[in-house]
Amino acid sequence: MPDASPEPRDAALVARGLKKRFGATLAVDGIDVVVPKGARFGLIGPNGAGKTTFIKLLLGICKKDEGSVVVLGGDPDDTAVRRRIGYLPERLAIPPSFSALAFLDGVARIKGIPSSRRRAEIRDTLALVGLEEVAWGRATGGYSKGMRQRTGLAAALLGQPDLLVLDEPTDGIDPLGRRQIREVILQAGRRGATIFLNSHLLAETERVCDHVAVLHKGRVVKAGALVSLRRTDAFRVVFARRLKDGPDDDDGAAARQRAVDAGFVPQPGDDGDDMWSTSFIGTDAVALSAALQAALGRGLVVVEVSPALVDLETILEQSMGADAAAASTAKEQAA
Amino acid sequence: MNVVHVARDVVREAFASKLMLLLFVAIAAGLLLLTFSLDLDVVDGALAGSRLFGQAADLSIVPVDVFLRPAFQALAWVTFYAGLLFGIVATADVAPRMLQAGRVEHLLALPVRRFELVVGIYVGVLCLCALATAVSTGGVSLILFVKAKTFTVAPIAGAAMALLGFGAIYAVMLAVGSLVRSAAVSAGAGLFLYALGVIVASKATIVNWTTSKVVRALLELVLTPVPNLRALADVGAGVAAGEAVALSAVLPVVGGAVAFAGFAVVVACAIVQSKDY
Repeated sequence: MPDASPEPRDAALVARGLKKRFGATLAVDGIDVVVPKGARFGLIGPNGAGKTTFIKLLLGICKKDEGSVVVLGGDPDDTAVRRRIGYLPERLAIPPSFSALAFLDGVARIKGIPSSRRRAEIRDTLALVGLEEVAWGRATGGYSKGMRQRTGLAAALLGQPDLLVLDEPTDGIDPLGRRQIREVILQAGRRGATIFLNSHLLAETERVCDHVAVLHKGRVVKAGALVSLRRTDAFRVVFARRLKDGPDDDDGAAARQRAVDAGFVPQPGDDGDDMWSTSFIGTDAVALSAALQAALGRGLVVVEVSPALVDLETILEQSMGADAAAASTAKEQAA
Repeated sequence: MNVVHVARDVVREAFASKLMLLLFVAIAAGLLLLTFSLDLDVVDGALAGSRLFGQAADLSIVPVDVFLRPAFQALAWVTFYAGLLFGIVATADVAPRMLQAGRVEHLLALPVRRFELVVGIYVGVLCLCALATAVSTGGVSLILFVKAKTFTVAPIAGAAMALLGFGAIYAVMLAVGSLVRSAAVSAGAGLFLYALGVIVASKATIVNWTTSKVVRALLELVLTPVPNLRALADVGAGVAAGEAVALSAVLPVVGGAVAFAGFAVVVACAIVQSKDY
């Protein structure tokens, strides 16, 4: 599913018709993706969807069979381009005998960070990712999974890359640590870096990313700005239980009936103690305003009006369902 | 420059490994043993008497450098044959470890070209072996300088042949390790080539074992490119003993080993270049 905007010249990453086959398995089946510069892009999909293979194709770690990839305006095989990329693989293997300082020193040298600021940058980055200072000089073989992950993230952040590709960055990190890592990623985003995040934690992707692509069976089945993808053809309108001129002990039944009369659909699962939720079906703001006026005229008290949004889990489910239906139709047509 | 950075990581990691630590402890122990067990009486550059492990050596008076020649020769052979064997075992896991899943992806996403990664591993391993060889043979030379008041770099120059032989073997181990990423298979390939390199000196005898022209041609084809390790060891021993070595005899052996190593490294680069990680 091609993303028409923005123009590739404003993009940090452009993949066109990307295909990769491993034996009989088509792992990546013609992916078209454009990631705008400065975007926080999330890749989601079920296990085996081809997410990690797609990332490896983008970075030139795997050779593509068909298609083209442009990263930061150049070829990912170009070392000048790769100098501007920070990558955290899904299962980073740090030499167990290396300390975090020694490991990052090697990475910093390869990234061409001048010796004058290498040491300071390594220490600053380790502090940023929250690795305790007492552990910096210890062999990483004795690190917990979370500590190794933080070291890997520090390696990706070294040199202030323009593109940060993170494959499951919070894997093995506790909830509080996750929050810290999320802040580090967002901070890189605020600096202007493009974030490419692959995480099976949908809530994390939702909190970090502003663009999302859903990958299923090696294809992008849905892509776009997160705010557009989450939007539905409805508004969420919350009313107070009590009416403007009604008694305090009203159980809300009267208000509910008046809201229904005004054209709102009750959403009982989303009710609070002193308020209750409804949906207004439709995207026409004029019609919504008229319905609200009618509700106000009936003595209802409006607490909140917002676009009705779905979460990423629902988007993923819907995308995969739609893809399965499309595949089934194609199969029937072929038969 | 990236080759140097990769090689640096290889050396740094190897120094943290127990096997490499064992090698240097063994070298140090051997040198200490030699220091305390050897007693040479040198008068005006001639050996007046000598004791090894306290036993008097029954020798007539000889110039000390002449006396030391067989010792240097023996040192060269030990360095060559034992050093190569230890080197194969100790370095078999270097390439598979550098190319293991989770590490190679990270390296390839850094500004390192694939061939730089391969050449960096090769250079790093050779640096390690050069260091071990220099420490052992240099240490012996130094001890003998203190004990016999005569210094020569001939043993170190002789040991360079061991490094050359190992370079040819490790290039194949690197190519195999790049292909299968297994330390055991890499070591197996190294040991096989080691054995082949030793027996290839008797190529004519081996080829003549059979009367079949096809088998003979096949044996010729297989054995011809194999570096002649025995010849290399002999050249090393000759150099260590300070013998005059004919360049015409040395060049084909040395050139063959270098060409073989170069070809195997190119193959390793091609394998890594074409692989998906």
